[in-house]
Amino acid sequence: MKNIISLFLLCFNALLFAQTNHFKITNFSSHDISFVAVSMNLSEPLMNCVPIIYNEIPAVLPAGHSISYSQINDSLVNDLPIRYWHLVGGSFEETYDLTLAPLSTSDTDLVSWHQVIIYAPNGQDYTLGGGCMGGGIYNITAGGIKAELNLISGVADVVITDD
Amino acid sequence: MKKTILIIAGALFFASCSNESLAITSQENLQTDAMKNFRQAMINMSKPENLATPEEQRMKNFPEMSDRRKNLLLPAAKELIQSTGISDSHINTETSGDKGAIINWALDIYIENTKPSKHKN
Repeated sequence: MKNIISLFLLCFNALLFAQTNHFKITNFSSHDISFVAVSMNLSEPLMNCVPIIYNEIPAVLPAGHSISYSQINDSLVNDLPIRYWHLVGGSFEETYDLTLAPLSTSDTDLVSWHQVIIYAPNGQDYTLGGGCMGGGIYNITAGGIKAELNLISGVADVVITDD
Repeated sequence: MKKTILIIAGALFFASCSNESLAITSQENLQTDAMKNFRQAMINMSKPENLATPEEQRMKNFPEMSDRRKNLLLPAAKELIQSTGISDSHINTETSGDKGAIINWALDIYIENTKPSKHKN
């Protein structure tokens, strides 16, 4: 009986923390926009957010296009594939090449999409979203674009428009 | 007791997968009024009067989009879903009338039609 309850609690925990929500980014602007999607563990502030996982090479979303990501380990087969993910795990950092090995579920299950770094046409980068110390910036008007990050029923949605 | 636990576990599993059943019907024509209207509604969200107010930003569930802002997107979102042949009653059945779920469904349709692979030469 105890085993069954433990198994049930384990399953419930996995459902609660599994990285299932999507990250959606829509580029309505007239510029190709590079971005870095950041997934992290905001549920453990004392751990200073770790793990933090982000795409090491900014992805380029062409003007007028949109894209959606779900699981980090599925990003290689996306319409805008992401191959390299950088993992900050507290005492270590490592870059994973998804063509060689997926990230461990013990890391990916703890994180969800909370931040995006946008590279504006002027070359400057701007971070949108929540930070490890709380607070955060959720919309900017800078560098020729407007960008906003919202959660819609828990799904991270980034919208970029011309300024 | 075992039966009860299994039923609860099963219900949680199916609840977690409920959004997966939302149909995404592809539209080939990006220039439909429904696509244009949804695009415009999304762009209008970045107007100063439509951004999250300081009061909304202080709400406990922020950055979850406020009901006021979801209401701004809802008509265009429903129109886009309906343009794929899905009825209003079916939308309500699938989403239980949840505004966020409806907007996410419309976003999925929009993204399906504007993803980079759709326009490769």
